[in-house]
Amino acid sequence: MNKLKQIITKLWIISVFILAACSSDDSVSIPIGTEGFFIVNEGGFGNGNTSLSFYDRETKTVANNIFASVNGALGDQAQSMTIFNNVGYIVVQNSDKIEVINVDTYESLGTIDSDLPSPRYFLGYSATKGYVSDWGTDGVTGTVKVIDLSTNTVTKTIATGQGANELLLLNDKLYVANSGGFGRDNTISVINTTTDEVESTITVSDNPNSLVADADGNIWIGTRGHTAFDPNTFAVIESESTPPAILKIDAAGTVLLNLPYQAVGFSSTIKKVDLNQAGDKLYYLYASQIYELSTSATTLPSTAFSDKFYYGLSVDPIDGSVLAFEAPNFSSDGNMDIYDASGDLQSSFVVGIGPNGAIFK
Amino acid sequence: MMLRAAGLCLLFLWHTELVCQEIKSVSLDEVTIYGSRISEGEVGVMSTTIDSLVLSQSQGENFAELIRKIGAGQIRSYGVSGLSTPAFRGTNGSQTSFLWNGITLNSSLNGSSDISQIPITGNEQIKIQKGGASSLYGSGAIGGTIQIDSRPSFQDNTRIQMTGEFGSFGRRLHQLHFGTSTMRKSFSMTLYNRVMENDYPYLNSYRRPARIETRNNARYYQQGITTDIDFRMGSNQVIGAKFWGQKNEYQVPNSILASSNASANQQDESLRGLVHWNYAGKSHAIVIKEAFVYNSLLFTDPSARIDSRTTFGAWTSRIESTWDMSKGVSLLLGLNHLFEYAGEENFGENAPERNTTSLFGSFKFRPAEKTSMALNVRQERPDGSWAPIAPSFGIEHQLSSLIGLSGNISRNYRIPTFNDLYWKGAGGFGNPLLLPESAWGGELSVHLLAKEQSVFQIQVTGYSQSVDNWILWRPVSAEGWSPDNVKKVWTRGGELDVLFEKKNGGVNIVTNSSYRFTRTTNEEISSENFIREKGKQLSYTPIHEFVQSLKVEFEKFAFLTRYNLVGKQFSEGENKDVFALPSYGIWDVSVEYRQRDKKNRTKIHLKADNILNTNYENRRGYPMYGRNYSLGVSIEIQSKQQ
Repeated sequence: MNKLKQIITKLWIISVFILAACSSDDSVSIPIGTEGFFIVNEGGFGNGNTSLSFYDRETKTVANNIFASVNGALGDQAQSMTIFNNVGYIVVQNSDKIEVINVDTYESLGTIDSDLPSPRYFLGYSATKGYVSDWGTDGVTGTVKVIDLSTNTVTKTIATGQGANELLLLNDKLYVANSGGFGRDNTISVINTTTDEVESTITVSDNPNSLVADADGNIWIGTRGHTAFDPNTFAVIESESTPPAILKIDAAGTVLLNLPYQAVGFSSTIKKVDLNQAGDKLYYLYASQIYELSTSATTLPSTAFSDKFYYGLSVDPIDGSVLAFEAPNFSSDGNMDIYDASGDLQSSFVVGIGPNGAIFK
Repeated sequence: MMLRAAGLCLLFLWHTELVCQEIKSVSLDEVTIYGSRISEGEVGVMSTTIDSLVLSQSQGENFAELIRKIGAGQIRSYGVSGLSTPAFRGTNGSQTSFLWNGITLNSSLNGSSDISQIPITGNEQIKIQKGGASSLYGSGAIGGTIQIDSRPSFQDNTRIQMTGEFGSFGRRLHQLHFGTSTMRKSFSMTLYNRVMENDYPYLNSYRRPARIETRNNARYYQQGITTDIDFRMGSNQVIGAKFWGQKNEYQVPNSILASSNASANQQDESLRGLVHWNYAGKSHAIVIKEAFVYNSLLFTDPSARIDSRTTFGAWTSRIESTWDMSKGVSLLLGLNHLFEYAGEENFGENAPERNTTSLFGSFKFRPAEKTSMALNVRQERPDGSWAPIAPSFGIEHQLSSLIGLSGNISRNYRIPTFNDLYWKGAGGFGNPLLLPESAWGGELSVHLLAKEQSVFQIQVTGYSQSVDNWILWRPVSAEGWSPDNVKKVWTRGGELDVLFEKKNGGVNIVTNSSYRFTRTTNEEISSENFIREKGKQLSYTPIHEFVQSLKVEFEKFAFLTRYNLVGKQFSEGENKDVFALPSYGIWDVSVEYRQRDKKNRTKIHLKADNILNTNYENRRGYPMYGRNYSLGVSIEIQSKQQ
């Protein structure tokens, strides 16, 4: 019996030792107050591992999970971030909220978390007013919410088309790309920023989701296209589907250029458009590849900017670098590839899970 | 002495042929006439039989809570009433077979069983077997099996048991059990309903500032009926039928990381039926079973405009025959046919069906007085293809009166589910070319048993299993998710169980310590996209788990306390601490008062679970109960003296 007790005691000590021998955490050094840009990482949907990264221009390094390091978990599926008046607004779609942060210290300044059922993009208008596009709980009831930035509360809801997505302020008017959300739409809503009401609706191609204004004051729009499919077989019904397109419209809504792709289907989509710093060269993500297009072009480019497949795209407004974001899966980290304007890969960095774009300070 | 050994086996965390042979001799007659003998092939295999006090106090809880409390395995859980699947030894829910009287209740669609929906009625026998056992139980028994059985009594008696339990957060259980039996026939029926409002407070630390919130949209309602009827014909035959019908209506709460405005709810109906004929001659026994399971699930979410019905079912036909050749030597041969189908709701015109025929055999022998061995093999043929042939070999050897050794090696497998193969719907599509998961594994245990005035038992187990062709759903393109045989996963670990029992006068003290170390890592990744997950621990699998319990019985009182410690769990593929669930400890306390006279028994228990009010989650965003209490009363009236 005594021997047994000895054995028990020894086993006990071993087990306690094993329990105590946990691995230590890697600490993250955060570049406080330096110049650079933020990266929004969507994370795996439903897994609560969306995150914010920061690229430091001086040291050319990326710090990941900067929001969590300072404030705690960011939430589920951050879709976008906007910097306005030196304040960061991180739109966390599946957490139905906007996290407001100090862009130098990353400290939370507040949370806007009521009346935002499925927010997508934020646009700051004045010291007291901002706009947020929202898909609605069902993914089709698109709205733009007016936010009082002094109280961080929603003061008005403006009905738009389905899946209100990217926002653009041009000539004091707010242009809303109605991306369809989980439904289908083919319009841009134009909101009068004085009355905060929709004053006109511009018809474009199916499911416009991204828009930018070029140096000439025209608007470039990327449309996703529409894929009709048999719900039983998942087979694409080509006759009822429409292809994605790049469109150029003027501020009044006249379509100046409509460049549709030929192919339809789930992978033949345009996800994002962006412009270089001069506003004369468009970059966009078609079928997960990057393409570039001069704002004076009249036909679509035939070759991609890079062979690789990407999930997100941004153009650096300072040096014109093309930032391409790779999401190899949604359970481990993604990458950021930095290309110069001629398409040569300059450097690569590990970022968070599901990176979708950069936001510049 | 015999009774002592029987009591011991119930408490004990493992069950080996040699240690527990005495209990078998007690009820040999019943065992040989009634029921399958497949489990006799579990030589050198770890299994846990649940302590009767734990079982009695678990009435009104579900299997997820029970397994958490006894520390037998891990529960992957979306909160208190959310989807909860059992996982043993670093595997997952679809690699765990849930068997009701030998019939699998795992979903034909996703392969797992939601054990939060399965209540503990207190009238069933529950066994938890760990490690691969596909040679005995077929597809899916890679990590382990949970077996629930009901047996007739064939004693001249009639009894009624009424149970009520009331607890925190609107938890109410009502249960009525009626049984009547003679030497020739046995009938029993249990009716139950469980209600949980689940409006419990939790600390939402995902919000800034962290705040106490109350869970909403989490109400749960369940009602069910089980019946068993058996007839004994002559001295060596039993014929009988079992039925289990259940209906659940519950709200599905959101992740607290997401919106608090949830509106989803689900209605499930499940029907299970079984008829069986048992024959037991002097040295030959036959069991024939016909069983069906049917499930209908309706998920609705008004705010997201989702209205989705799912139905699936299965029909099992089985015959098994056992020949006893000499003491400790027997041969079992069996043939099983399983027909599975799924409704058209999710698969359209191509609603899947599958016919799987299996042949299995088990040869048990005793080459020496203190050595028992079993050689088992099973071959399944799903729809004209071949599943991996699954042999296993187990051995138990008693080195001395103090020390025993046991071990086994086995091949185990899981054939892909209907969703894996044929799913077509929003966000994904199945892969008809999937191969079965295939695993080779083994374990070795040393156990020490010392009995004097007190009892010491120690068991140390090491195991290792490599699962090839692990099926994983992943995003493959903009078209959505699809499964593939992408991974090779190596699970290995150690388990230490220590039991001490002391009887002193009228006081009985039992302490039980159990520690589990689990490493389960991605060893090979077929796609470069997953390179960062190579060598990493699978998500939601704690490396360290520990349970310490203490039971004190004194006259009419029984006191039970338990501390569970669950180590850190990673929630994503790269094992980052920033997204990990922190380790947590849960302390439960209960006291039971038992009054029994010749015909009547009354039990009253008072439970306080998680008395330290620990905030914890088993999945990010799904908080569990904090401190909670319950009071249970059970009254049993019998026609005959016991």
